[in-house]
Amino acid sequence: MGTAMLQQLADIAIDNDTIFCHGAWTVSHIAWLSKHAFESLQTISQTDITLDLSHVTHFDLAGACLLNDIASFFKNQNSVVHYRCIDERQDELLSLVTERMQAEPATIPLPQFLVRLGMKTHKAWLQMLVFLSFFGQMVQSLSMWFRFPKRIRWQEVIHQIEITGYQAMGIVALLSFLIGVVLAYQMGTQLQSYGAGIYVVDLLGLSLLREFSPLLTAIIVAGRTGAAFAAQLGTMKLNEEIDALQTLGVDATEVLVLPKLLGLIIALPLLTVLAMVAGVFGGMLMSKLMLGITFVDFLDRFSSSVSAQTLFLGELKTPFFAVLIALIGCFQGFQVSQGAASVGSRTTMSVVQCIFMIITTDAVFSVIYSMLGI
Amino acid sequence: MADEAIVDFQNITTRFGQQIVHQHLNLTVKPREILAIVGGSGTGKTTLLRELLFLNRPAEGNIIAFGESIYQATSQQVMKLRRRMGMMFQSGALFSSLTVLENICFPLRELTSLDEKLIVEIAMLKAGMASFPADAVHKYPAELSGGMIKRAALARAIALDPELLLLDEPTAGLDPEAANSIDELVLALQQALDLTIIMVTHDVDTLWQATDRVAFLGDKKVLACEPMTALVRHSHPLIEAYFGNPRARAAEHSHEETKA
Ligand SMILES: Nc1ncnc2c1ncn2[C@@H]1O[C@H](COP(=O)(O)OP(=O)(O)O)[C@@H](O)[C@H]1O
Ligand SMILES: [Mg+2]
Repeated sequence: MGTAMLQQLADIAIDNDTIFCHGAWTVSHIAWLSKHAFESLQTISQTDITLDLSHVTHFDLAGACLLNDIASFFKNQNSVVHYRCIDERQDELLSLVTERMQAEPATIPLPQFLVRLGMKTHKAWLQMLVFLSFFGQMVQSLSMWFRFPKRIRWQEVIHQIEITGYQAMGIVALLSFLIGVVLAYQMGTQLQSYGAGIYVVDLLGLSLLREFSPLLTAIIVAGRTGAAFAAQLGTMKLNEEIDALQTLGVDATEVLVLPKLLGLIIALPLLTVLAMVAGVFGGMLMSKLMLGITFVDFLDRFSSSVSAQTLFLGELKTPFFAVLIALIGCFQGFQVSQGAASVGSRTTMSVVQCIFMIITTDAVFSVIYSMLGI
Repeated sequence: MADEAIVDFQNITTRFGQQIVHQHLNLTVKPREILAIVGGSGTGKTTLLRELLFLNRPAEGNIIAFGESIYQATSQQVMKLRRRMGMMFQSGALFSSLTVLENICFPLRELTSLDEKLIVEIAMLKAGMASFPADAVHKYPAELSGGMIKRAALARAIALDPELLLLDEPTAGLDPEAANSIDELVLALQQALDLTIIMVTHDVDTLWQATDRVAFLGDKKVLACEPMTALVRHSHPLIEAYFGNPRARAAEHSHEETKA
């Protein structure tokens, strides 16, 4: 053994109308030759070419391919090609190449810019229709649940609450706490310079309860849960598991989407409450350390200046966020078609679209609230 | 030299947790033979191939491939050894984000620095040798039928002109005609390329048509490793049960008829 190490790179030497091939004509030894052979072949002007293989030490199919290329190079110029000192096996491989070689079919060229734009627009429009039909299907399945509440899969719903809510508690609480700390610090330094430090409580309460906690929680959950929905359903789709469900006469939306939707509608408002508590606690701690506001003073001020309405207005948004996250995540999962790359791109898309829609919806709520004057 | 083993499984013991899959298993593969591995489901046939490829490691024992003990090899030597083997996985394991042509080109692009035109030519040649239709090479694996996936996987496995080809159930799930053509393909490839082939199969027709020797896995070891004609006369109860059923008998008869 060990011959593999001792093989010499394949090469050719040209002597008038004879091309001497030497070295190992194997897949790992012809790289250089495959790139440079044809330059030197240009110099040959004779029309009767002999390919001499007497110094070829090793020969495999890749080598035969290259030799065949060289021969066809001359044949295309209407030259005649002879082989000299070709042994039986080399001859066999060479004829295998000529027999089995197929031409690569032409690829369809990329269409023009306008055509591509049109195709993209059409595709986006189709996606929109597919989403609408997905939404409709879900509403239909949901109405089944309302008419026959016995069909609700509570066990699955509770399992979803555990995964999407309970298991997210740590990260939501920690991040909200930090946001509370940061907010209190930023606002506190400003207010302190006016000697109005105690107002940090009002500001913290309003901004956290109405805006930051619902928004931040929804975004964390979108990244955590929306992506998980898309990846899980996408992989199931690839595995034909969803087809199997449908073949069994089971409504895939009802089994796979509704429990996630219902679970998230329950879990997200609860998570948001946790985020509010943690955020306010972070602010409270910072206020004490920086502004010297005691916990008792803070809570006293908090209960008088932050109304229950604030809490309610913040919480009101969360079921909408929950619906968005569940819908987009599941929809993107169902859209996975061929291949692992598609799971990746759909998962990414689900997170991007979730966050986009969450922030847009939040803005819409702000507009509505301000029009109502609350 | 000619009779020296190309692969030698020595005293292999494999465990997954409590479950013992192989116990003191020995198997020798000779150069240029087509060796089939048969045995009931879960007897560790796939695992044996994976151990040869370094994807699993047995608890005890040693594997010699191309004269080198693979568990004493450095990672560079392992890469070299792996390049001399081609593996066709049970489910094809084509890369789903690449077209068939890109799949076959992949090992050539990654492991050699050949001219791009030559790479495509070699890939198309290998597709042709695996009887993969040329007009489908730009398709993605998800758009292929089971038989085409097997052919594409076979083409990728032989892309680098391996000396040792490992096939995991190449004919499973194919219609008899497609299975037959895979058998012929394996024989033709072996003759054309001087390959050594280790093939896991449940297909009794394949065993009769395309193998030199058959290793029977059972009771956690190789119960017998003989040519098919001798193996069907073997008296071990597991082997008798395997080849004694009507389907296996029918395959034997049809083989005898075609020979006569
Ligand atoms: N990664 C793994 N973890 C645990 N058990 C495994 C693993 N791979 C294989 N096994 C077990 O090893 C046994 C042999 O598997 P395998 O080699 O795939 O069998 P087959 O002969 O059908 O190809 C089976 O019982 C299987 O459950
Ligand atoms: Mg197997």
